[in-house]
Amino acid sequence: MAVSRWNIFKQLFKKDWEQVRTETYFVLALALTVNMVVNILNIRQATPLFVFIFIAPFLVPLYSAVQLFRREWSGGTIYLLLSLPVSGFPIFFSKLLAVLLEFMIQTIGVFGLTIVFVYLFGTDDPRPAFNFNFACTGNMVHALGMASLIMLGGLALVTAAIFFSQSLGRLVPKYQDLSAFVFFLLSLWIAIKVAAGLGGAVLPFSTAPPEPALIWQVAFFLLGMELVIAGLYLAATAYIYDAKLEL
Amino acid sequence: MIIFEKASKSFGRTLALNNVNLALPEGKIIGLFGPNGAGKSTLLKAAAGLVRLNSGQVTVDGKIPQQRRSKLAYLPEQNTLPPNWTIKRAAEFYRAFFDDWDNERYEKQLEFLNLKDGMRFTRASRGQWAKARLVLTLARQARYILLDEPFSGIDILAREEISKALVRDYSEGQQTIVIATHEIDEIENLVEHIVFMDNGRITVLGDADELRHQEGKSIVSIMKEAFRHGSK
Amino acid sequence: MDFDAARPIYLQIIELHKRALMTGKLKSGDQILSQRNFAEQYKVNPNTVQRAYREMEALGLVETLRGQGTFVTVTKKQLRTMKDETANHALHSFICEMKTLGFTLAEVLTQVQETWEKEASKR
Repeated sequence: MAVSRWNIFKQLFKKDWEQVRTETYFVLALALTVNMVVNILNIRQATPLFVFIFIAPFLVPLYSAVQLFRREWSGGTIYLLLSLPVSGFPIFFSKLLAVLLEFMIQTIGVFGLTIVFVYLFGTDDPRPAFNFNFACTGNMVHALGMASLIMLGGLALVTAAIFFSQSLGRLVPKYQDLSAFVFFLLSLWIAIKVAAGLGGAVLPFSTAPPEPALIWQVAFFLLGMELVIAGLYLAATAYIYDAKLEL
Repeated sequence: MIIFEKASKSFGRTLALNNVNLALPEGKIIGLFGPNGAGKSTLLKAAAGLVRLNSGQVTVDGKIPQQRRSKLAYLPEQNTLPPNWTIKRAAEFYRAFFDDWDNERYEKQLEFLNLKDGMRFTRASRGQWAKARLVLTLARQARYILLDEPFSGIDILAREEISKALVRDYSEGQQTIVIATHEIDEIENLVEHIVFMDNGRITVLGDADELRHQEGKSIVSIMKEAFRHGSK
Repeated sequence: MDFDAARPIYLQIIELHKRALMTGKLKSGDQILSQRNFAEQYKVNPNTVQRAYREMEALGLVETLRGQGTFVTVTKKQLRTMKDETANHALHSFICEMKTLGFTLAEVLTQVQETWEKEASKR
C-alpha cells in the first residue's frame, strides 16, 4: 500500500490523542461531578470548587504536554518514533494539535456543563446574566472570539516552549528534567522579551487615551506574536529531533 | 550496504565503538556476537540512526541512516510499542509509514506463530510479546533488518519458533539481516556471516562455514578463544 | 538432528543426504525437501542450504526441476562408489585402531567373525 502523508499524520495524531484522551475525560468527569454535587446537595459556598474546575482546562493540557513528551522516553516509544521515516515537525505538530484539541474540548465541556446546570437548577432566572452574549451586537462577540484565539495561541506557545525545552533537556547528560524546567523558564522569558520589545517598536503606543482601534491592533499583534514564536519553537524542536537527539 | 568507517562512539567514559571499520555483506544473515557490553547494541543503533557517532561515519547505501529509515527495520531489545495497543493496532500504525509492509506475510506469520491480532501487549506473555514484535518487524520486506537480542528472556520453544519464522520469510540475497545476541548457540546454524565484537572493536569476521573449516572448531569456541586473547 | 558445530554445515547437509541414499531411505526419483523447507526445519541459513544443494547437483546426486522440486537422480554406479568409499573409510580407521592395539590379522578376522554372528543372532 502506498504511503500517504495524510495517513502518516493521522496515525501520529491518533497515537498522541490516545495519550491525552484520559486527561480530557478526567476533567470533563470532574466538572460533571462538581456541578452535580453542588446543585443536588445545594452547597452555598461553591466558588472554590468552581474556580478549581474552571482553572483545570488551562492547567491540565500543560501537564498533558509535559507527559506527551516524557512518556515517549519512559515507555520506549521514542525508539519507534526515531525509526520512522518521518521528520520531527509532523511528530511535534501532531502533539501540539492534540494538546490544543484537549484544551478546546475541556473549555467547551467545563463551561458548557456549568451553563447547562445553571439553567436546569438555578433559582433565579440566570438568562439575563448570559444574555449579553446574544444581546450585544458585533463587538462583544468579536472580542470574545479574539480573547479565545489569544488564549489558544498562548497555549500553543507555552506547549511549543515545553517541547523545545524538553528536547534541549534530553541533550544534557545529567539532571535532564531540572534542565528542561530551566530551559522552559528561559524560553518563556525570551518570548515575552521579544514580544514586548517588538510591540513597543511597532505599535503606536504614544496616543494617550487608548482608542478601540489600538486595542484591536494590540490583540492582533499579540496573536501574531504568539503564533510566530510558537512556530519558531516548534521548528527548533523539530531541528533538535532531526539532527541532535539520540538514544 | 551498511558501512562503518572509523566509527567511534563513547557514552561518558565507556568507549562503545572504538574506531570500527566494517562492511556488512549484502543479502546475508549476519550474526553479531560478543559478550554483554561489547558494543553490539550501539553498533546496531548507529546503523539504524538512533545514535550519533563522535567520529567517523556510518552509511546505508551511501547515505546517512536517518535518510534511509524507510529501508531499515530495527527491532530494539526493549519494548517500543504503547502497552495498551493490540497487535492489530500496531500493524495499522506500521502500515501507514512503510510502503514495504507486506500484509500477506504479516497474516501468515501471525498464524504460524499462533498469535491473535486482537491481543493486547499488556496481556501477552514474554514469549508472545517477543514473537509479536518480531512479526511486526519481519512483515516489512525491508532491505535491512536489524535485530537486537531477539531471544532475550524467552523460553526455548518460542526461541525455536522465532528462528523458524526468521528463515521462513527470508528473501535470500535481497535482505540483510543482522542479529545481535550473546546467545550464540541459538542461531549458530542460522547465520552465514559472523561479526564478533569485544570492547567496542571487531575481533573476528568472516563466513561461518569458512571459519569452521579453517579452525576446525565451532563458532562458540572460536569466539571464546578470541575473547580470551582480547582480555589478555 | 543436530549438526556438529565444529564442521562446515553445508558439508554436513551433503553427508546427511549421502547417508540417506546409502541406507536406502532415499531412492532415485524421490523428492527431497525444498531448500526453504529444509532451512526452516533444521533452522539452517537458506544460503548454506543452497550451497549444499548446488554441490549435490554438481555431484549428480540430485536434480532441481524448475517449479517442481528437487529429485534424487543417483545412479547405481554412483551409489556403489559412495558405499565403497564409506566402507573404505570405516575399514581404514578400524584397521588402524586394531594395529595400534597390537592385534594380528588372524586375531582380528576371528573377532570380526564372532562379533558378526553375535550381532546376527540378536536380531
